[in-house]
Amino acid sequence: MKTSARFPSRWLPLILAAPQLLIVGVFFYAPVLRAFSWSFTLERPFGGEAPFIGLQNYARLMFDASFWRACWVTGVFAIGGCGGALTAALVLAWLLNRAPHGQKILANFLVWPLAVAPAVLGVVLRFVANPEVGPFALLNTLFPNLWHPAVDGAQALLLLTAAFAWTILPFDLVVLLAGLRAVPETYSQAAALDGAGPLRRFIDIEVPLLAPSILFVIIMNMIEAVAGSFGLIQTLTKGGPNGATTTLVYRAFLDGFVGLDLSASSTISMVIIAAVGALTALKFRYAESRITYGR
Amino acid sequence: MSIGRATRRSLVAVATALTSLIWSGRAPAAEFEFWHALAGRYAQAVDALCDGFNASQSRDRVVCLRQGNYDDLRQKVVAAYRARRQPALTMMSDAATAEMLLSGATEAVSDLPNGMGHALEEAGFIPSVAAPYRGSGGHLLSLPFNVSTALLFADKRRLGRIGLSRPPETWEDVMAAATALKHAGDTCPLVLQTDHAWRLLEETSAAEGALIATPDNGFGGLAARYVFDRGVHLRLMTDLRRAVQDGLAIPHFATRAGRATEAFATGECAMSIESTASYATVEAAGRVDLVVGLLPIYAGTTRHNTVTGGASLWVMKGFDPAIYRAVAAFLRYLLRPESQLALTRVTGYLPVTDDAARRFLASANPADPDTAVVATAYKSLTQPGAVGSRGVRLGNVTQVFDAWGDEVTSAFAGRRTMRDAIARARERADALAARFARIYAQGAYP
Repeated sequence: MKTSARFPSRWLPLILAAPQLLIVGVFFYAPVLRAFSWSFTLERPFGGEAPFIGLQNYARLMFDASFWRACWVTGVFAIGGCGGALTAALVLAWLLNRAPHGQKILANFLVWPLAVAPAVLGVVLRFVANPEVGPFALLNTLFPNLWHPAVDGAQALLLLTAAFAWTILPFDLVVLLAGLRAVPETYSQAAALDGAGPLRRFIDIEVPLLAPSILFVIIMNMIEAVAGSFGLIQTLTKGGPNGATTTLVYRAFLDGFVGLDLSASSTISMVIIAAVGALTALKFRYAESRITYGR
Repeated sequence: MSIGRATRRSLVAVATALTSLIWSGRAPAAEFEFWHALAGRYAQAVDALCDGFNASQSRDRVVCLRQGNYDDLRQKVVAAYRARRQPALTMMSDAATAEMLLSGATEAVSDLPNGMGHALEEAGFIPSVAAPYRGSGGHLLSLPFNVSTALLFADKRRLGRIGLSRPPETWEDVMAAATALKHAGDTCPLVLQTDHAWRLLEETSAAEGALIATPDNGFGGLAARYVFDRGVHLRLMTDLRRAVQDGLAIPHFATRAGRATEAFATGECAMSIESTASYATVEAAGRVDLVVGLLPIYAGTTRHNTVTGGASLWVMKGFDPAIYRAVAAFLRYLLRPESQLALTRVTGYLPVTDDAARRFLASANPADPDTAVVATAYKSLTQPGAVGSRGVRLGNVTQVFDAWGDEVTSAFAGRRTMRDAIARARERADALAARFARIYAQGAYP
């Protein structure tokens, strides 16, 4: 039996990959190309005339204050959510790795939030965060009018970011825990012999050796934050109050599905694709040179 | 066994006779789809109408499909039309009227075959109900179907405590009643759904006969400019904000129920501006003795008709004449007073023709609060008209009203002054109108 993964024929790999390529082509590349062409025209919802207007859709976006606001919200949401989830996942992974008993059970519990769809989380959190009847009502009786995410944009964004961090935490934890377990114990043991405490060992030895996993986690989280999370926003805040939780993706939804302005929505989608592509390329080029994969 | 020649001939004769008997007098059957966005018992009422039509004749058949809410339905119709799989008849919310008229994807209902135009003229629509859907020649482009209007809902018991038997009819009287209620210990005399422009912007302006946008609320052309930042609307919003500061009115987000309709229905608040369709919620909660009145106007101003909210039926292009004959037959069935009354009794939506409205009021139980709702709504819809009470024909109006709701809610939350909020809302509205005019450049309403 042949055990290598090399195929002598030129066409067999292509044929075997064809179904997947077809799916990606039909459900991703074709719509992206269509949206790319729509971003240069004035497309009407029911079809009909669509005059070519060059870069005017993009120019209009550059001068739109609400677009830059959406960029800002996306940035805060992405960095806050990813940073929070990564930090929490690192701490939890470290603690889990050191736990003498019950590692499997604890890890199991911590991974359960992965099964909760973000949209479901949004619905539940609407009740939890309700200033009149949720647990926060107690806070409001002590400090009147303190917690009101339906009216205070900063609080709404905080709630949304925390919810997002909660949804990506299990994924981060799984990746970081696996990475942590792959770190050879000899380094930690040598450091312990030299008198380094557990925290010092974690920060100076294990985290740097975890760098590839951390990079992977950051990229996946940022992509999810910038290009995903629609379900959570739609059920939790609907982009409100007054645009305080409208990320780029939600803005594309509002323009395209509520406003039926297909060209404007496509323009924003192209901006998102460019941003995510740039992020990924930048990270790999910059970070690759700093990270040593040798163990 | 062989059949004898005579037997064969008589068999053929019998077969021919039977076949011609079966096939005689049968026009080709036409089946079409009707997409709607109603749910729950509203959907059941629509299903009853569809089944009734199918049972009443054997030639045509309608298949009624629920497609989600109004937003879902709009997106699906757009996608279906682009894929050439559109339904022959679809419901569309009134907010999409401008887009539908400029889409080039619809046939006017008055252009349907078999004398439909004439039948629609004879139908006797309540003028303010049909006005938003009439073309420049006066012919009907879309059929109003499930409509409601805005009234002042009040708690009879609490009004009685301050000596009122009917809800106040002017804003001055509303504030006076709210003050009296507050002094009597009421914590929520009036509740405001601050993000619902239909109630607080569109309907209140229509009752005063005030324009929201020029020219003529959009009827005059595509290049609309909004004017609600001056005149009676600004005055009303400023007064309502002062009322909130004085504790006479509560914004919906500060109530326990979270929404104005529920806050009123559960008895938390004494008065609320509501759609007639909210009657169902109030009745289901069963806690409030409901009394309704006309939408308040300022003392000294003339009262005009309020406009309808809801949805209308649109006929899509691209079908055979046989299908359009079937659609015409279905629409005539829906326009029968019996059909309208069936819908009204179950859903609380209003009758759309004068005849049906009068029949409902003549046959309804006066003790039933729903009768008062329909009677007051009919009175509200048949007030004298003005150019500002014809309805709106504005593009991107959903987003315009969302922008208004965002800014006004910020003002009610104390984050900015009402004047500032309304000015910002107007800027955003103008930008949306300009974008709409750009996309549909060289377009004209039929």
